[in-house]
Amino acid sequence: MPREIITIQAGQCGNQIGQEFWGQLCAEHGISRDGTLEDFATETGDRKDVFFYQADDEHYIPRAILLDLEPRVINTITTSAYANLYNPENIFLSKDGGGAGNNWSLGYGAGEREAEEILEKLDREADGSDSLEGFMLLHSIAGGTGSGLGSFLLERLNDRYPKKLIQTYSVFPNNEEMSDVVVQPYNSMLSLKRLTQNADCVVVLDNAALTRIACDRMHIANPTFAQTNQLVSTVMSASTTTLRYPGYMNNDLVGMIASLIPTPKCHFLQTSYTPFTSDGVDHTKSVRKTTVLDVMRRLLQPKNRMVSTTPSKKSCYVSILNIIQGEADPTDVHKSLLRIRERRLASFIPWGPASIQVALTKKSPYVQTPHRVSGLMLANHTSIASLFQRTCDQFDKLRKRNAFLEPYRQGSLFRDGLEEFDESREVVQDLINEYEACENPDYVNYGQ
Amino acid sequence: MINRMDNTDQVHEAVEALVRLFLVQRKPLDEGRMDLDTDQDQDQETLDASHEARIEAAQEYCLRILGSRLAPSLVSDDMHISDLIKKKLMREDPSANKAVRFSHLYTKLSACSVLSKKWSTLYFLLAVSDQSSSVAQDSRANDHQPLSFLGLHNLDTTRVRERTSREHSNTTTAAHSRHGSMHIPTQISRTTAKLISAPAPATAYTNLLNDQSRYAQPEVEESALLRDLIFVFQGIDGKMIKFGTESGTCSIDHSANISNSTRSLVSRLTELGWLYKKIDTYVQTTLKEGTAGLVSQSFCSALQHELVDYFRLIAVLEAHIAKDTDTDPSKGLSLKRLLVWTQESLQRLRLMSVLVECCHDLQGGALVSMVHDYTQHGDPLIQQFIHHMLERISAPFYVIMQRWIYEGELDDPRTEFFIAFDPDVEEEDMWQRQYFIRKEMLPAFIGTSLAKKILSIGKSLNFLRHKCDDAEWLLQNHGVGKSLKYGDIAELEGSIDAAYVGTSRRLLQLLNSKFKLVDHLTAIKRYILLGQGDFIQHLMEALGSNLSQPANTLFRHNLTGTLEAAIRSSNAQYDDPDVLRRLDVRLLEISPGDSGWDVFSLDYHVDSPINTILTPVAMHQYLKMFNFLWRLKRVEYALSSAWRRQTTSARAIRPILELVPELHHCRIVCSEMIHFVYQLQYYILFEVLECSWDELLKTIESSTTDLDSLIEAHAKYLRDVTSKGLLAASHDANMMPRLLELLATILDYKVAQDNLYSYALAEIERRERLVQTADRRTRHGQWGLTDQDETLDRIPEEQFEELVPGLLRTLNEYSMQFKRELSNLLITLSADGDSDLRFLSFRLDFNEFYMGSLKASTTAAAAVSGKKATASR
Repeated sequence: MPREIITIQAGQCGNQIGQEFWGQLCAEHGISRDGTLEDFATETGDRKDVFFYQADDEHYIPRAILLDLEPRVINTITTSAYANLYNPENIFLSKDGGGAGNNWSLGYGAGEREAEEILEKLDREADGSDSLEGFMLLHSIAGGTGSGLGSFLLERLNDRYPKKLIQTYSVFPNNEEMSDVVVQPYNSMLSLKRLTQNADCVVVLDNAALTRIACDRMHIANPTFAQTNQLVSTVMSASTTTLRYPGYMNNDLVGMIASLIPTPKCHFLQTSYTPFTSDGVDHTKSVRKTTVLDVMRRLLQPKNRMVSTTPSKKSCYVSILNIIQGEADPTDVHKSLLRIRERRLASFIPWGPASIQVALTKKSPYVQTPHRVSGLMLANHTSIASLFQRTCDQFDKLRKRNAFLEPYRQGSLFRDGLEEFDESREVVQDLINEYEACENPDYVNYGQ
Repeated sequence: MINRMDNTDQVHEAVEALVRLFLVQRKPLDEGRMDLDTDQDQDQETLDASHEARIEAAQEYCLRILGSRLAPSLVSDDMHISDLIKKKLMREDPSANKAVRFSHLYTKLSACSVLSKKWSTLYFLLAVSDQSSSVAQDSRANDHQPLSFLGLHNLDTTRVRERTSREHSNTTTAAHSRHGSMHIPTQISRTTAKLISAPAPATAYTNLLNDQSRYAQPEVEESALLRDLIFVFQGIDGKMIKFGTESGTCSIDHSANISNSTRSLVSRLTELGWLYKKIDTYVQTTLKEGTAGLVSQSFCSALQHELVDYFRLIAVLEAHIAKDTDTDPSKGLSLKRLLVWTQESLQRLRLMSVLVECCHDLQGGALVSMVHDYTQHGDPLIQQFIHHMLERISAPFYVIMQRWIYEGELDDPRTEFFIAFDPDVEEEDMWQRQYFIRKEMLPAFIGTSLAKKILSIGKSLNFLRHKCDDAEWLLQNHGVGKSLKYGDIAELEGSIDAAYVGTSRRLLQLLNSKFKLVDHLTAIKRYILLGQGDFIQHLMEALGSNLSQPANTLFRHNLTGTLEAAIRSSNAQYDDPDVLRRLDVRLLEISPGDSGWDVFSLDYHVDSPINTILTPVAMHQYLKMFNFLWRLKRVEYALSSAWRRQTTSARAIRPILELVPELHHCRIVCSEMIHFVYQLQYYILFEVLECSWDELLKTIESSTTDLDSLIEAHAKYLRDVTSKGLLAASHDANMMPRLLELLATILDYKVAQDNLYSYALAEIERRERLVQTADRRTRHGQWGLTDQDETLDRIPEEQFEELVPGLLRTLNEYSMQFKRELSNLLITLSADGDSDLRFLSFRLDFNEFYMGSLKASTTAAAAVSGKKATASR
C-alpha cells in the first residue's frame, strides 16, 4: 500500500522536465534505462513503488502520463535511451499534431476535446494503484499546452478525484526580460487562476532564477533548457526523497505539505537547493566543505532560491522544510537551528508558530556526488506575491490595450466574452492580498 | 608446680654433689696444708659419721644461703669481694700464703669468660666460709623460690601479649590496613622488632637464686645441652629442656647445674624450637582438616618446604655434635656457635610464624594478599624470602586464574578465588550477575581495574562457551594461554590485557556477526521506535479504527494478521526474516475503560545471548517508548487527515460564506497543532533518537570495548532515549501527563472539526439539491422555489443558528484549552534545568510566537495595572 503519486507531464517544458526527473529517479533507485533493476541495486531501503509500478516481467514502469499537442519532445523521448521505460499507452499526442501555438485557449480547448482519452489514461493509472495519494503535474504556465491543457486537467482532476491531492511543479516564465511569446502574461494569468483554485500545492520554479543559478552557481555562460531542466529535476527528486526513502516523518505527501501550508490558498512553495552539481559541467567549482550548518545557511540565501522575487521588508516565511541528504550529523541540526535563530537569518510570520523543519534522508547509494551533504529547502514565503504582482502588471499592460486577444476568442471559454481574463485577474489579486495579509499579526481574523 | 619441684630437686642434688666433692677433697688438703690439726687420733668410723654430718650440715647451710631472700649487704663488685676474701685469709693466715694463692686463682677466674656471675660465686664462697657467724640466720630460707627460667617466661608472655595486641590492631585496622600499604610495613616492623627483642633480660635477682641453687650440682656438659637443644629444635622434649604443656614455652631443668649465662643462651636457642613447633602444628592441623583450601594447602607445603631447609640445618648440627664428642671440644660446636649458626633459620622461622599467625584463619586470595603485604618489608632478605614463599603459595591461585582467563571455567571448589559464582541467577542476568568479584579475596597486587578485566575475560569466555556455543575458538585459544605465576605484575597485566583484548574482540565479533546484535538494535529502532515510516503508516491505517474500540474487544490474532499485512506491504518485507519473525503484537494489561490505543504495543522477541544486552527490563522500556511514540504518531495522522479534509473540501464549501472566517480560524489553530506535533517529533527524532543512536553505533564500532561497555553503552542509549523522549529528564514529574493531555486535546479538537466539516458538506449538498430542484421546476415552467421550499430553506438557517454556534463553541473551547496547556508547557520547559528540554521549548517556539505574545500580554497587563495605579492616585 504505497502512497502512489501519478505524474502528469504536459507540454514541451513539462515533458522535458519529466524526462530529466525520471532519469534522475532511475539513477537513484538503480533502475536501468529500460526499466529493469540493475544488478548492483540490492539496497532495500527505498520505495520504488511510489513512482513506479512493476509490469508482469518485473520491469519498472513510471506512473507517468505524457501529454503533448505536438510530437517533437515526445518523439525525442521515444527515440531516446529511455524509450522503453514508459508505458506507451500513457503517451498522448494530439492527432493533428499542430500544438497549441503558445495559446492557452488552444491548449484548454484541446483538453476539452480530448478529455475522454486523457481521462481514460488517468483513470487506468489511478485504478492501478492501491492507495493513490495524488497527482503531480509538471508544466510551464507561459506556453500553450502546459498552461492550457494543464489548467483543464487541474479542473477535471478536482471534480474526478476530489479527495486526492494535486501538486504541481510549475515553471514560471522569465518575466524580467521581454519574451518572444508576447501573450505569456495572458497564459500565466489564466493558469494562475487554476493553480490557485484547483491545486493543493504548487512548487514555483522560475526560468529567470533557474538561468541565474545556472550562470552564477554552476558557471555556465548561456545555460540551455536542458541544463536548467536538470536543476528542476534535481529539486524534484530531492523534494520527493522523504517519500521514496521512508523514515520517521514526512513519509507521505500530506504529511510533508501539511506542515508547509497552513491555509489552503497560500500553497505556493519556493525552493532552494545547494550545492548544485551537473553532469554537463564537470568542472564545477562549487565543491566546498559542506556541513549541515553551511547547507542550511546557504539555503536561506536569496541567491540560491529558484524563484526571482523582490521581498519587501515585511516579507516573511510562513514555513520552512529543509530536506538534508547525505551523511549529516544529527547533532549538527541542533547547532544550526540555534545559530540561525541567534543570527535571525530568517524572519517568520507573526500570527502563529513557525520554525525550520529539518528532515534527514539517505542519499541514494547509486549516485555519486562530490558533496557530503546537500540540501533542499521547501519554503512558503510571502514574497512570492511579488512574482504574481509582476505577472499581474504585465497582464494589465496587455489587457488595457486589449492586445493579442483575438486568438483566445476561439476557445470555448471566451466565446461569450473575456470575463474569464478579469475573473482570473481577480483571483490572483485575492491571492496577492492574502499573502500580504499573511505578513500581519491579524491574519488570524482574515476574511471577517 | 611440677616444674618448680623438679628444679628444687635439681638444686638440692647439685648442692649435695658440690658439698661432697668439696669436703672429701678438703681433708687431704687440710692435712697437707696445715699440720696444726689435732684430730689424727679419731677413728675412722667417727670420722665417717662426723663427716656425713658435716656434709649434711654444710649442704643445708649452702641451701639456706642459696635460698635466702635477703639481698646481699654488699655491693656487687668483683674487686670488692675479692678484697674481702683476701682480708679474711690474711686474718686467718698472716703468712699471706693463702691470700697470694687466692689472688692467683682470682686472676685465673676473672680471665675465664665462660662464667658470668663471678661476684655471685665469690660471695657464695665467702658466705660458706663464714660458717660460725651465720648459722642461726635465715630459717625462712626453706621457702624456695620458683626456679623456672623467668627469661623464657618473659619471652612467652611478651609473645602472648604481642599476639593479642596484634590481633587487636588487626581487627581495628582491618578496614584500612588493606588500602594503606603505609600501615603494613610499620605493623610488620613492629612485630618483628618485638620478636627479635623478645627474650627480655631476666632479673638479676632470680638469676642469682638460680645460680645459688644450681651451683650445688656439677655443671651440665655443653654437649648434653646441645643434644637437648637438637631435640627441642625439632619440637621434642629434651632431657633437661622441655616444652611446657600449655603455653608451649620451653623450660630448662632448674636443678641442672647450668650457669646463668648458658641458661639464657639456651633459652634464646629454644625460641627456634618453639617457633618450629608452632609452624608445624599449623601445618599438621591444616593438612589434617579436609576443608583447607588449595591456597592454604600450598601455603602449608611452602612452609614445609622451608622447614626442610631447617631440618637440613639440624642434621648438620647433629652431625657436628656427634663428631665433637670425639674431638677437641674447644673447636667443635658450642652453644654460642649454635646461636650464630641458627640465626638465619631463626629469622626465617620467625617470619614463617608471623605468617602462620596472620594467615591461620584466612583462605585463598585473602591469604595471598596477606602474605603479599609482607613483601613491602624494608629488609631485602625478608622481601626475597616472602617473594619466594609467595610464588609457591599463590601457585594454585594462579592455576585458578589461568583456567579462568584462558578457558572461562571457574574451578574453585573452596571458593578461594576473587571471582565468585552465583548459581541462582536468571538466564538473562547471567552476564550481569552470575559472576562477581569478591573483594575480600582480591589480592592486593591485583588492582580493581585489573580484577574487572579478569572478571570480564572469564565471563566473556564463559559466555562464548555456554551462550554462543563457540567452543571451537576456545580450544584454539587455549594454546595461547601461558602459565601464570606470581612475580612480575606488569607481565601479568600484559598477558591479562592480551587475553582481554582477544576475548572481548572475539565476543563482540561474534555478537555482531553470528548473533547480529546491530541488526537487532536497528530492527528495534525501526519497528519499536517507529523508524520504518512506511511500515508504521500501514499499521496505523490498518489498525486505526480497531484501536479506537474498547481494549477488551481486541484480539491478538487479529492484530497479528494486521501486523503481517503491514510488513508485507511495506519495505519491512525486505528485512531479514529472522528479524521479522521476532516482531510481534503485544497487548498490555487492560484496565477498565482503556481503549485499544492504551494497550496496543509492538513487541520484539530477543533470545539468548542477545537478551544479555536487550534484557527484559530494557525491552519493557522500549515498549513504553513505543507506546508514547505511537500515540504521538496517531495524533500526527489525525492532524494529517484533518488537514487533508480542510484542503480537499475547501473548494467544495467555499460557497458557505458564513463559515469562511470560522474555517479560516480553524485552519490556523490546526496548523498550530500540526506545528506542535511536528516539532515535538523532530525533537524526538534528532535530539533523542538519532543522536543517541549515533553515539551507540560509535561505541559499538570502536574495537576497544568489551561486552560490559557494550551493555553500558546500550543502557546509556536506552536511558537517553527514554528520559529525553518521555521528557522524564525534567524535574517536573507531571510533564508526561501534561503532554498526553495536550495530545488528547488535539484529538478532541480534530473530532469537533470533523463535525463542523460534516455539517458544512451536508449544507452544501442541501443547497445544491435546492438549486437543482429550482432548476428543474424552472425548466418545467414553474416557480423556481415554492413557499414550502422557502420554509425548507429556512429550517437549516435556524439549524445554522443553533447547531453551528455549538460546534464553534466546542472548537473554540478546545483551541483555548490547547493554547493554555501549550503555553504552560512551554513556560515549564523553557525554565527547565535540562538543556535538551530547553531546546524543545526553543524548537516549539522557534519564531518566539508564544513567548512574544506572553510578554506582550504581561507588559499590557503591567501597563493596565500601572494606569490603574496612577488613576487611583
